[in-house]
Amino acid sequence: MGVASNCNDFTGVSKSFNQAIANASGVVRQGQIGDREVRVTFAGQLLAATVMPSFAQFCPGPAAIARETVGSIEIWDCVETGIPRPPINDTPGWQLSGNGWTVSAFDAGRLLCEERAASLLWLDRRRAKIIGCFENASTLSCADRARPLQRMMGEFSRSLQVQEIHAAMIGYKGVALLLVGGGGRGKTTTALDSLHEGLDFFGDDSIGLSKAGSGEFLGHCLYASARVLPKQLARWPHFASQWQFPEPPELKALFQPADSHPQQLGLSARICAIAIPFVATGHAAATRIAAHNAFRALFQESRDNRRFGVTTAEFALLANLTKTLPCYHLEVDESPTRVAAVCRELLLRHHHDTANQLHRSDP
Amino acid sequence: LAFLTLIDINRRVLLTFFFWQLLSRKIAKMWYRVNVPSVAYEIFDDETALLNLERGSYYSLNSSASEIWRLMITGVSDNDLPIAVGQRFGIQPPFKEVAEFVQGLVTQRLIILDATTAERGEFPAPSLREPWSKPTIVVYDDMRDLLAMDPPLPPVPSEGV
Repeated sequence: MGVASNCNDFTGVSKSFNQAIANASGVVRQGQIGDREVRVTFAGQLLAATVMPSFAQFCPGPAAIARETVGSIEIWDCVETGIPRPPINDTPGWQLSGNGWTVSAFDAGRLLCEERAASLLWLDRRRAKIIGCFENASTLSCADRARPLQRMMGEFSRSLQVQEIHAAMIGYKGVALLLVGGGGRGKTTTALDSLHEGLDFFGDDSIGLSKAGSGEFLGHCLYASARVLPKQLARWPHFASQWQFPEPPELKALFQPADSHPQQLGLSARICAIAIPFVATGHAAATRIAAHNAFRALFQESRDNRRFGVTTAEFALLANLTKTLPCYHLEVDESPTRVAAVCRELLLRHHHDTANQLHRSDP
Repeated sequence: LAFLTLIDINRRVLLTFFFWQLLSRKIAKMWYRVNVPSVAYEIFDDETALLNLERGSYYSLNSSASEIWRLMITGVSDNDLPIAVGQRFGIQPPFKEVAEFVQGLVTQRLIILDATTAERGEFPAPSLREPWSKPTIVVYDDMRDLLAMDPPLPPVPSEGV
């Protein structure tokens, strides 16, 4: 996987992780992001119990772990392991700050470091390796539990040749429907409606996108979690006992379906259609729309400051995605059953579309 | 005498203008070039999306603007553009509207005028489904924070460096 970086701070955080894993028992899992093997190691039982459900696509067991890995994620809990957050002494070559976070680049851009009050995460982009720590697993926010890697996930995915996009994804019989659009459109609602009614769930907020050699677009689960406003919870009675409410209170409650719906969690699937949900009343339906509408929803509306920019190649990939696949407006009404039925019907309609006929398959 | 002198001056001005037009068409012809690698674009059926990584802005061109864009990037020179646009739409669009649109592209550094670029790209078949409307370019600066980060990071150095 290449030579180690000569950045002293990165070397320091690597040593700290080794000490942490020696001090406390670890949990190791392995799985795939795209077609790349990734190993996840958490030092600290509480941290693993809190965060690992969001990495439910990664499997436990020696058989999985025996496979050669391409990427790795190694994180420790400072409180449980007794290993504090290492300081940063090197001078970054580039830095960007936002509300409560700072990201710095070192070693000519090879290394990225995200500093937040709750966590410190380093990424070696060349080796696709994340090392970091959480200050205290017992006080992790729901946002951290849902998306533990925060801003590092986008760059980590890039290192694995997968593009992280702000979208939800559901599936049925091996194919997937990508749900895109700005905040409040109904992506999460549609995804949870579908999960509630028996369809597969690939993620609520972050989806990995890649293009196979055959020309098919593949969507990959990055986080098996969803967050919703408390006023919406009554919509899904089957999930009633599964919600996690943050303390201190946060805007949204957390749902990690790994324990309650493991058989409905999808890892990767061929995307056969794109839908832009919007809230409607008394009527759930899908209407075909032009590609540029879906592109704008995906690229412009769905922008997310947790990702760092977009390359021209990624821009082209998103355009190609929306030009190739059938795109729909999806009316999301009060009934999860009706919404899921429309999604299922779309998935069945385009189930057998090939890459070359997708754009012609529907009037 | 004064009257004859005035006519003579007018003739001279007209002749100078005429020859200038001839010369400009032969000598000062300019072509349009997309400002790569800072600018990426995607043409949809009746809309074009552009990305300017240099400025951190995203742009959307309407149907008529997209058609002009197609002509510009496939080798139609600045002098020939008004005629080419007219041929595409079957009417002669207001010169001012076309000129303002082109100026907007130049101002946003999406396109560069280049005297040496005479290569024709693949000339696309007309995609006209919409009649002529004023060509517009919508600028989305609200992505500046996101796009300005790119390219924030240099490419990952290759192995062996």
